[in-house]
Amino acid sequence: MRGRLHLSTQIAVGIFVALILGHLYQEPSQEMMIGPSATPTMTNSSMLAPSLPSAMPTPSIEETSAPPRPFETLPGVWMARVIAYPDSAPEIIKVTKLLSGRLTVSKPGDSYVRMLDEGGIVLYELTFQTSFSLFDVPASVDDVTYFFIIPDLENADWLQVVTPQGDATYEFPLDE
Amino acid sequence: MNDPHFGEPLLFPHPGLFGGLLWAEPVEPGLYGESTIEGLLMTTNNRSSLARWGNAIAEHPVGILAMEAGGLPPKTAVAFDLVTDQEARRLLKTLLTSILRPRATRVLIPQGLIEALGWQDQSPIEDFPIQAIPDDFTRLGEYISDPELEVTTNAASTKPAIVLRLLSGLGLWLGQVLVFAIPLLVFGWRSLVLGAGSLLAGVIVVVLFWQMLPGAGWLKGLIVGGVLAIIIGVGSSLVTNAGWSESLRYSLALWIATAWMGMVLTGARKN
Repeated sequence: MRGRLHLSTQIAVGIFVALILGHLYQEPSQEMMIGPSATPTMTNSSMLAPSLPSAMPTPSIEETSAPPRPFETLPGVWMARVIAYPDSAPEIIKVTKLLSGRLTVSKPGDSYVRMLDEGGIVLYELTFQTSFSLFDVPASVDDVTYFFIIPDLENADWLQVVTPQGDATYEFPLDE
Repeated sequence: MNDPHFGEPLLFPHPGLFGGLLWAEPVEPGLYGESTIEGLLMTTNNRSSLARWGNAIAEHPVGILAMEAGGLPPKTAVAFDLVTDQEARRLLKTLLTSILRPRATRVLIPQGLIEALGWQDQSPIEDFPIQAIPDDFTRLGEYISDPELEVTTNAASTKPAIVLRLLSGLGLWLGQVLVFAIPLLVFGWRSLVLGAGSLLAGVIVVVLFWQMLPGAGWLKGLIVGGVLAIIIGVGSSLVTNAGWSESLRYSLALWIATAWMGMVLTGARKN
């Protein structure tokens, strides 16, 4: 009568409904969240680096009123592939525009990824910790590759990666 | 409404685990008690209610008619229109004229149920006078001994139907969350919180618009849940900058949760 279910059927169907709700409400797929918090990958350090600009303005930090928000899928982001070395400055290997993605979130550390405008003002900054040790064993690696997802800011002209060993810069293309 | 079991008198159930607070407790609707009865007490097929009254009439020649109400308690069943004035009258008439005549001489109905149905104390049904008895079953003996004894009405204790529906809905929501918790938690805390929240939102809107909506409980849930899902979906898309696919998923989940709560609010079936 009136679409009633048997009590045991109601519980069984209820569990099925709960699974559907759980699936619909779960955190969206995290395949775009690749960053330094993930396990570093060892790569061949002979990869080509982009040409670095000769005249890089000195960075200064300016607070922005609406910072890009993490944990949200944003349309149009940049993915930067960076190699850090234990005894020399890092290299920015490749910077790619993605249709959408989530910003990298990392634990604060001694290194930075910064987006600067043409006057050297920091529009976006991500801090992270570089580590060259292989898990808990004393062995270390020659280099570590990081992937950073950063926002697509209108006034950003430069990407800068700073580690304790040095820094590297990349100029965003004008047509992007 | 399906007619209840009027064959051999049924045996009284034992009290339920949750006392009907968190979930419907259906037992078989029908006539409970001894076959040689002089009075008939009316309630719903709610396990706790029936077990309580069964204990109270143990020493008296009174049977109990348990009406089909999805296992909800009497006043709640009336508040959700699962027991209506017309259906209850029709059932009593059938029972008194066809089955119990000439044995049963009077009908005993708890005061709360009489008020919920809008009936009057001492008003007859097919020549059988209705006697109101207190909802407090411990005083039943006095009223069985004295057919003229009247219940003192306590209007302050009578809750409006919408309050009864809301309280019952919240209890049922808690019961549902207990069942839903582990399957939701499989997908993480976020799913648990949002899932429980959507069930709560669903039960509240269904309860508030219950009497304005047509059809069975699940249909009421589908209708009001659809409207709610559209509002929340469009709102979240505009206010939070959530992507359309994310908004669509949340809206769909809210719709399903509301329809589900609408269905379980009508109780459950025993057989």
